[in-house]
Amino acid sequence: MKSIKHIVWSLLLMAVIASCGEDDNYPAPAEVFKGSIVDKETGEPLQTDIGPFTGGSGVRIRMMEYSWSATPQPYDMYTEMDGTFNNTKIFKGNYGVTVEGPFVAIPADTFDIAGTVEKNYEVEPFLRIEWVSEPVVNDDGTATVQVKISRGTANPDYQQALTEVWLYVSETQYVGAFSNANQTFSTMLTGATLPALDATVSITTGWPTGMPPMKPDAKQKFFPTYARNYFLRVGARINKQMIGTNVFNYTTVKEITTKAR
Amino acid sequence: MKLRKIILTISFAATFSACSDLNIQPINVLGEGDIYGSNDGVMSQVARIYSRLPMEDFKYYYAAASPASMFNSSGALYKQMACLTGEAVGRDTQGADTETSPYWDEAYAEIRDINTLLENVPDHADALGETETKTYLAEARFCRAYTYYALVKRYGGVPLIATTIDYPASVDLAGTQIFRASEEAIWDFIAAELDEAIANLPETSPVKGRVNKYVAAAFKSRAMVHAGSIAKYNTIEQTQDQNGTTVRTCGVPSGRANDYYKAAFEAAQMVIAGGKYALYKGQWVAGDKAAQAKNFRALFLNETTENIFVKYYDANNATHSYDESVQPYQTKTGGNDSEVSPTMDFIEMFDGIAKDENGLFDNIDDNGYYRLFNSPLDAFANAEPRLRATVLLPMDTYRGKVIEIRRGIWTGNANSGKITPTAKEGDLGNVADLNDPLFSLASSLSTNLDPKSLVPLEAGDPHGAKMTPSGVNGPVSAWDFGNTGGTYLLKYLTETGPTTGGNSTQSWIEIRFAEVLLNQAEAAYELYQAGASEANYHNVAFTNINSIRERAGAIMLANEADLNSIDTVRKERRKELAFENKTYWDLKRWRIIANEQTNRHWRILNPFYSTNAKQYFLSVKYQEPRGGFQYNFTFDPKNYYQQIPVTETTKNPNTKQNPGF
Repeated sequence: MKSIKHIVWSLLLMAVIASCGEDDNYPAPAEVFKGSIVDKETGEPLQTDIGPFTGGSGVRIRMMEYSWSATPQPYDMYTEMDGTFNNTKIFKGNYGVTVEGPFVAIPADTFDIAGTVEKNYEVEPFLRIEWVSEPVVNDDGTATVQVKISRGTANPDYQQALTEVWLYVSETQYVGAFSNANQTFSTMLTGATLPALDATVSITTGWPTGMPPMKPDAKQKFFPTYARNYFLRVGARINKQMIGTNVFNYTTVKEITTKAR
Repeated sequence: MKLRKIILTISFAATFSACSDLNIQPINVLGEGDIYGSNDGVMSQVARIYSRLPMEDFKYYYAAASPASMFNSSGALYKQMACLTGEAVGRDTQGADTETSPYWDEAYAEIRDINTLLENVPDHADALGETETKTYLAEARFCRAYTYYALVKRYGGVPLIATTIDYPASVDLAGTQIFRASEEAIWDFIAAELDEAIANLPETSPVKGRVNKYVAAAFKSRAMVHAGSIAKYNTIEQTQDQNGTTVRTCGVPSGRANDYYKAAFEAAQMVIAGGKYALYKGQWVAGDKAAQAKNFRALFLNETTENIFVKYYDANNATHSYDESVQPYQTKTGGNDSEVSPTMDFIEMFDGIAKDENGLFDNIDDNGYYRLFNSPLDAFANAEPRLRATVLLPMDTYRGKVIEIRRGIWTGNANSGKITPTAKEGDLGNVADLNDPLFSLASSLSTNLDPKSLVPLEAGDPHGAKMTPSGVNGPVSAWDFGNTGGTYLLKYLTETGPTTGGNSTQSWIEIRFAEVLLNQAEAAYELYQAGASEANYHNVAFTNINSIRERAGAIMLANEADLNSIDTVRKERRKELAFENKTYWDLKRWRIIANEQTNRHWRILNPFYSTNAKQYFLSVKYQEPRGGFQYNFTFDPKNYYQQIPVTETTKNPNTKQNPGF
């Protein structure tokens, strides 16, 4: 029994000694992969969500490092709200890059990343949403915006119906489906309350769970009685999933100050 | 000393005679011959295979911490699947959760177990007997189909393994890295396995709990209707290039929908024609709602002709914690409570309740004032018997007690029965946020019992001089035990027996005759809509729906023309199979759960007592936030095909991950 204990202990000791010796002194990744996603027709930055979230995703840049294996584990990164990205911690290597989001699918690209690599992707978004006028802050504790939603592509595979339109209201500059978890002043339009395409549409804040007739017993929410800032953004999606989930197109972000009442 | 010498001599002699060939089997290790050479041996393996079937029963816990199994989980106490579909709200189900533990390694371990049995039993057919061998093999095929069904409904196409893989003896590592088969191939495999099982299983189960021909046919009707919905309603497509061949790993060609629906129709027909099963109506009396409710409730607590496939529990061998999870606070003897509270969205599906022009619960009269009731239960006096058997309403009786559910007391002036709806009516948020001095609420169950909280009632009040603000069960304003939605679940709850410590013994009815009728009705209606005419599909769907409605005490369809939408069939299924862990999968296969759950809050019932009116008014609003949880449900469509465990995609790089992950 005692000798067994000795054997076990010495084996453990040997294992420990054998494993120390290799410090991870490899250099940190430091290559830069940056760029932007822009609307092919207007040249404007593509407005999107940030990252994956419950119920949807922003623009995902999936990088497969083919330097060592033909079937690597994917490395995913996401863009900012305006479609720009800047990753300064990439390992030097050969990558297959697929960019997916609320736009017509573009083919994957394979290239080496060493030093700084900049890629600007021109895409056809599913929908183009534009502000028609500045948001109007009403006296009753709501705000009204006017936008126009039109198709951003004529591609026959991406002509699915408009399914969801939102006026997102956020307390921070991060506005959109990704940042809407408990926002009480956003407005959701689905089904019978969906606006028409190619027409000026007015949307008022305060219907976070939908409005009549979709939600007959919903109550409108009003801003607090003191003046404060909010950020507004209009988003919409068609009934086409990319990256397996819902993807939204957006306007730019606008800031308002509510009226004290 | 002499004794020692004698012993030594004897043992010395013994060693010579013991010099024999050591090529004998160890006697403390069971070999293949021992297991497969006897019926007891084979039954031990069959029993193990049954016990590991991926059944979503009382012990299924979708929130099991990976890599623990979701099945046969002792922790199925807090999050219940019924709270993911809008059927109910639950304190601990705070959003559109998905399964947290993968079902993959466990599935293939079960499949290998089954494959081993299928390969070994035929060699011992003489020792086992011809009928027994046939039954074992057919049972094994049923179980294999059952396991692949659990895989395909979660992941789509998966590797199709029908033989044991002899790694590393004759198969190398690359040989184990098998590609995913197409989703269509898996559904077809399930159908073929079940056909084999149906052909070879006996008419009646050899032992209670084992399958027979009709169990396999009933299960086939479920699997095929599921395959049909995927073919018809799924829009997600994923293909993989497998050494030159393109295989569709997610999605089924829409042209196959009718094939699957026909297979479901015929399988159900076999069960019906067999004549051994029928809807339970042992205590049913025409026109008697109370008897009909009693009948429906009894169906789940007794052995009846409706039971086709049951997972039996009993006090000695296997228990579960269903009661401890869903029981009312008032009748508990320890442990947890109140995790399932059926929503108004669910209750509004049923007949016999006053509803407004939008189909919503009519709690406010035409003049805009709350309707007043002596008891909240009065509002449901004429409700469909199936509802009264499924849901425990406020002030209903359970285990000999009146289950007191009250959100608070309103002490304002009722103006002779004209109470204006509260600001929180139909709204988000917690009633306590109103900070309205006219509302006496309890913040917790303990403050509710504090004598200082007692609310004085007006003279002549039938309830006495004072009343606690909340009912004994709550609901209270803050995070606590007790009720949250104004109702309790009644289905599968017994009137006697332990309710705590995981000592529940109700058996789980996995397949019952009503489901077979509903599977057939859905398949028939889909075929009718597709223009198929091999049978009078419209009439079959109509007849089946009416059989179910008659037993349920619901209003029957007047004539075939009234059955004009698949939604009627689906709604009947949601009402009948509620709280049986089936609705979630139905919503997924119809591809409607993502549409139903976008920033969705469920509606609950808050009964309030008015001191001035000396009556109750019923407020309906969105589930109240408590403990910081907003109970906002958004289902991510990427979960229609769940994530294949990353441990698997790493081990086997040929396994293509599902889209969205």
